[in-house]
Amino acid sequence: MSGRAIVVTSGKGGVGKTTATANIGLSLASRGQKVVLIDGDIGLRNLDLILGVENRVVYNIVDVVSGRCQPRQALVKDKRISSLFLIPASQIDQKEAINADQMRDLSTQLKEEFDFVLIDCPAGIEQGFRNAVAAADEAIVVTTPDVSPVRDADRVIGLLQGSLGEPQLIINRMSMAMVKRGDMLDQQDVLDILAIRLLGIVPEDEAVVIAGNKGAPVVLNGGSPSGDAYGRIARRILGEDVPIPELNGHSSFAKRLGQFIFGR
Amino acid sequence: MTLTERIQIFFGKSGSGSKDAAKNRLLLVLQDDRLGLTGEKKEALRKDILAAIRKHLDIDAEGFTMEFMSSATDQKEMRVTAPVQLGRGAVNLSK
Ligand SMILES: Nc1ncnc2c1ncn2[C@@H]1O[C@H](COP(=O)(O)OP(=O)(O)O)[C@@H](O)[C@H]1O
Ligand SMILES: [Mg+2]
Repeated sequence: MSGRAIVVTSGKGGVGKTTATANIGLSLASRGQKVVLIDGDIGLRNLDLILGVENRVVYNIVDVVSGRCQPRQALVKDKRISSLFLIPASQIDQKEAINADQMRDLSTQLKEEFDFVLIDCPAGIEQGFRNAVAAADEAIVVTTPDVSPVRDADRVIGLLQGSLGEPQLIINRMSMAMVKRGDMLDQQDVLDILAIRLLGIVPEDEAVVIAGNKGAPVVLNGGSPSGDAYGRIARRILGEDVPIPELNGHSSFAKRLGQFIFGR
Repeated sequence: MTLTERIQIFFGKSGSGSKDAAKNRLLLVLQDDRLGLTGEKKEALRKDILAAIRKHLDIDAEGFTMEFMSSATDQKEMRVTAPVQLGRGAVNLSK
């Protein structure tokens, strides 16, 4: 078997890569896929915390590539969904503790056993980024609809050209209220600028923060707008044709009339 | 929601519409990023173009600026505009 290795990247930090990796991974696993997540953010380990498995981390990725343990010893198994695993980052090492060849080898090995290898990329475009990309066959670029993340996303898309296939885009933290006011780039604006394929849109959602607090990503509790969005994204990754809900904020006359009359 | 806000929403026009500024600025800066067009390169280009024009026309070197604009509709298109101020000699000649 050879699974798909996908890197989740952005250039800019803090746009939602780790959140996306956790939720897409859980969602794919809950659909029967065997999934391993790699925390590629060496020195700034977070994915274990977001997943809520931080207490069970023993070995990490640097232990694996330096031969201090076998890959399977470093796998942290999720207790909620049994086909999801994590290889945590090391918290004390530098990005340079691993090189691109080692990452590629690890990923090749994992693809033998897993349907999906998802790599959570660190911010930036240096060694950590190059390592994460080396391990992948495909890329998901995450951005928020703000000027700096979009600019950085464009840079990353440029860097990915040639090495990986055409990346797909997730626009995270979209606020419908702001889009309606004309104070936030809408999906069409972002696509006009970046000119890549859209994988999905995730709304701004308090549930993400609460999920982070609890170590229980939003897809685990149905009903949140962000969790639903990640569920749809996972289905699209699996090849299902799931329409992207129209979130571009052009409200209909009837809706505006309703808002005018009822004030909401 | 205040009445003004409601009226604004009714006409589809609340907020400051700042996203247009975001989009235009991004298209511009990304064009430079993608071309690797640094400020230094732009300055060198400006000087070369100025020199080329001045070989044929008497124009004012002081105020010669170039503006690089991307097209909002076609990513493959860039417009370079350089308004030319005619120099003293040229103005005298045309008299
Ligand atoms: N859709 C969302 N709505 C609200 N907050 C979000 C959303 N996505 C991410 N966040 C918040 O943004 C912050 C950064 O997210 P994270 O996934 O750690 O980004 P990155 O890995 O790109 O640095 C976190 O505090 C997270 O809770
Ligand atoms: Mg992260």
